Amino acid sequence: MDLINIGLFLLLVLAILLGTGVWISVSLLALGWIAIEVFTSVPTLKAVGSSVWGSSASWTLAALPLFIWMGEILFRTKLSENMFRGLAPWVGWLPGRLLHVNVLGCGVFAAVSGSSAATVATIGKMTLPELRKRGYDERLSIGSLAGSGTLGLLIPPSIIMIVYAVAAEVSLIRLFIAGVLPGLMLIALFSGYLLIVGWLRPEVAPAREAAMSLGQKLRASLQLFPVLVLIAGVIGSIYFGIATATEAAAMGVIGALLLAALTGSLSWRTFSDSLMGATRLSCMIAFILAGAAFLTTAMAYTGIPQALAAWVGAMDLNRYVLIAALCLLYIIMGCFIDGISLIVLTTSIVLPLVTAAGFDLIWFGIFIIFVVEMAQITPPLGFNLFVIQGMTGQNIFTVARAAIPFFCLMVVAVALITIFPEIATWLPSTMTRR
Amino acid sequence: QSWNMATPYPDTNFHTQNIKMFIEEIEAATPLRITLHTNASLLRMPEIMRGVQTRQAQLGEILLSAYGNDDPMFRVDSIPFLAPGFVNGIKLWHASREAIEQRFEDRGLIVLYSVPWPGQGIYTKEPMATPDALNGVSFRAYNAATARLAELMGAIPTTVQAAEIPQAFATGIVSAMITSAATGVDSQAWDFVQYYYNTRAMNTRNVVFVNAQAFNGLDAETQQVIREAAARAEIRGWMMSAEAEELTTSRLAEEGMTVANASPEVMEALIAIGTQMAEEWVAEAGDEGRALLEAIGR
Amino acid sequence: MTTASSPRARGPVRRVLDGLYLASGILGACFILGIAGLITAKVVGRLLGRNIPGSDDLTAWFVAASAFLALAYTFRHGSHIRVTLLVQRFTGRWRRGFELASLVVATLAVGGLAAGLVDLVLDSWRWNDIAQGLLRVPMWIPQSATALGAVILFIALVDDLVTTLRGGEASYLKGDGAADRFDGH
Ligand code: NA
Ligand code: NA
Repeated sequence: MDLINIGLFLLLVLAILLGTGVWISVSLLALGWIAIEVFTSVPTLKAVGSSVWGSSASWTLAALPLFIWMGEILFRTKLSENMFRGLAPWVGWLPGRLLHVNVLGCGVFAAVSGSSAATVATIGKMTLPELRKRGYDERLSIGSLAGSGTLGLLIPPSIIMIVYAVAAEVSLIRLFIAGVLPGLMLIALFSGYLLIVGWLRPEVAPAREAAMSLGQKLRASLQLFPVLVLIAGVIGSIYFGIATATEAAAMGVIGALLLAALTGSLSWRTFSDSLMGATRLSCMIAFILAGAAFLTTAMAYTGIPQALAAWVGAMDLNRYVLIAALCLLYIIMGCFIDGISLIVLTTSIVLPLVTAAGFDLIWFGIFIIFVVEMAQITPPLGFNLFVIQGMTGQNIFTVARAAIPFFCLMVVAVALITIFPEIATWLPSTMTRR
Repeated sequence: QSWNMATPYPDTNFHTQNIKMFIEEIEAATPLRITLHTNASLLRMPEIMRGVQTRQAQLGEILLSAYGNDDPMFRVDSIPFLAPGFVNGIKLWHASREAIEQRFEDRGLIVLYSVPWPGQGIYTKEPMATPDALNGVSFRAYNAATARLAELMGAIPTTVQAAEIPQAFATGIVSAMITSAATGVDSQAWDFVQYYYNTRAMNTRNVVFVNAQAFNGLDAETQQVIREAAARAEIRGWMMSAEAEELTTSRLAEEGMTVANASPEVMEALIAIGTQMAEEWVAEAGDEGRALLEAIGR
Repeated sequence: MTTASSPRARGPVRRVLDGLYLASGILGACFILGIAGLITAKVVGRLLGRNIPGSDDLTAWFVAASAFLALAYTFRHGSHIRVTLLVQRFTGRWRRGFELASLVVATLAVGGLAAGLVDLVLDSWRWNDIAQGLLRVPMWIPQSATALGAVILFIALVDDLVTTLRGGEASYLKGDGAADRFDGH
């Protein structure tokens, strides 16, 4: 069998494993095992031991359980209520009014949470009932929430970024910092869209509420202060190099515990629930990464990725064509596969390709975060859709339809970072030049 | 027949370039086909020796001193100022080669060739005019030997991951380190540090080796081709390393760093530290170690 | 906490197994606490001008230990993700068939993984491998945690395979892992 046929065979096996409900981590492990055992003369037992151990005992990976734990703690505080009361007084005069709280609230919470579904759940828990009560357009409320929740992945810290940084072996710090400007750009795109819709169709938002005095506004926002300190602490310490990403994560955990204690939501129960939740979640992700590392080793032995990279390299594709093709491929896969699997399943094949095409791996990381974000809001498998379905009772296809404009804005954002890669690469490049 | 080879270093590194030429020569003269997996893509540094032992790859390259905790003989090349400069480095390699080859053989491995890294110098933020200049300064350590060196210089050894060196300097987590000019160029040292003292403290070595069973399974002619290619690679590698040292040292100067030789007093103090570390090493390495140091005239 | 399987199996064996899964999960959580503690200590140490030698190596080993020791606990909680879009459409015998097939594949693959990791520990022990960093620790010690975690996951898989073969419902189907998943993505 030549390499193409071997590749197609393995792809078929993977599809069968995933389709019949075999755990994703186990599927990767099993596929790696088959690839080595059937197509090479390498001792599989030895290979699985050294590759799984080598990839799991990773210092970079320490940020994963810590950022997850931090998010789990904050999830159990009264943060979401404070977020609404603190932000609402400031956006009442804009076309679209309180709908902007969805975008801004998600943006702020994204800066302390590594997950998009947690961002949607935390912000949506507060905004959706308030917006409905005031008579805002349901579709726009839901859509902007679904879209903005994805900021959780793009604005650091981000679980998906840790996964990519480990899989692609790029600097986590640089990747985090690279996400900041694209994240702000996405906030601007979403808010801009709400402004335009609010201006063209004033009926989506009710009349302006009685304005507060500046003092009242500031008092309402004071509750946000601890979160802002936490954000400044986490992102600031990474950017200004006071701490490594892992250290920022540990400080974030301590900060989140303090914040929970300050707001009176810290108890033995929240502590142990958040810790055990973080244990399960980081265990799940780490096991997928271990399976993916073994599959990557197996692929390296078969020679398929090298052959594929050579083949695509020989086609001499235009960079934009390659990125457009990958974008389409990821959007289709993202309908059926979750973000973490999307990254680990493809890195062993795709990274050699994009490296050969001369793309910066940090930039490609931001690109892949964007496509993973899109996958969060495309049916049938989209975690943001599931969360909103759980909160509103609307079926996921209704939610997905509401999210279409925001999906399109993300496509625009991908086009923008492809044409102007500096949006992603400029900020990290300034880090050492100070 | 097709083999795999694992190296922890990236494609652009001169060691890797040398390996590629080594493989080309073998493939041109024999039916053996060798796939080189660079950048630790197959096995990471700590797993490479075991990986070749267990035939996960037939060929491997390691930084010998990385395995120094396993056996003191593997880290004789990382004792600072024991054999400064390339000429002394060659002497040390020839004196220690047999002992090292024996240890590889015990693990079912055959040493093919060894190439040194360029000499290591000291990078500092502040000028290092006197021997006590590093007193209380946080100094980047990456293994036991550099940690001990820092201690003896009165500095505070601080472990920093290679990828975080620029960050660590920019923010004062560390203010000094010891590494080659080549590594300094790779990490664009001029962005975060001002002085480079070309002390040529040591030339740590990479070793390229093969699984003995796999090698002995080849026909005599192929074995001969590999041996000869290895001998050529060793000489070529030493030259590439010397060339890299010159080019990268002058590059540091071009980028605006102050490149200098350490002052005689500083050098004297450093060599005294080296002597002390050599004694500590002998205490672990025993009679064999003592004999080795005597053989290179120390 | 999720306890498992049919009432008639709830004997001493059941209790020991459930205790094993929970204990290893808690041990995994302790290692996460350990990671947070180590890194905090490192930051504080740096502020005081002290270095904690080898804390990076220790952190890496703790990461591996926390992930692998919690494998079985996470599995029984239903928190390991799978694609259930297709399988969900089936009920009754077909659904049971899919679950059995998944469990057989997982038992084999994890069995292989556990064997590989145990073999790695034995190799490290036999060759007396020492860690390459500042801590001169025999490698078999940190590696044992991963091997042990994989073996416990293997036991948990066999456990659920037997339960399903006997007509019971697998533990992970009863877990509340779906709630976890929302936080991760
Ligand atoms: Na985030
Ligand atoms: Na999707």
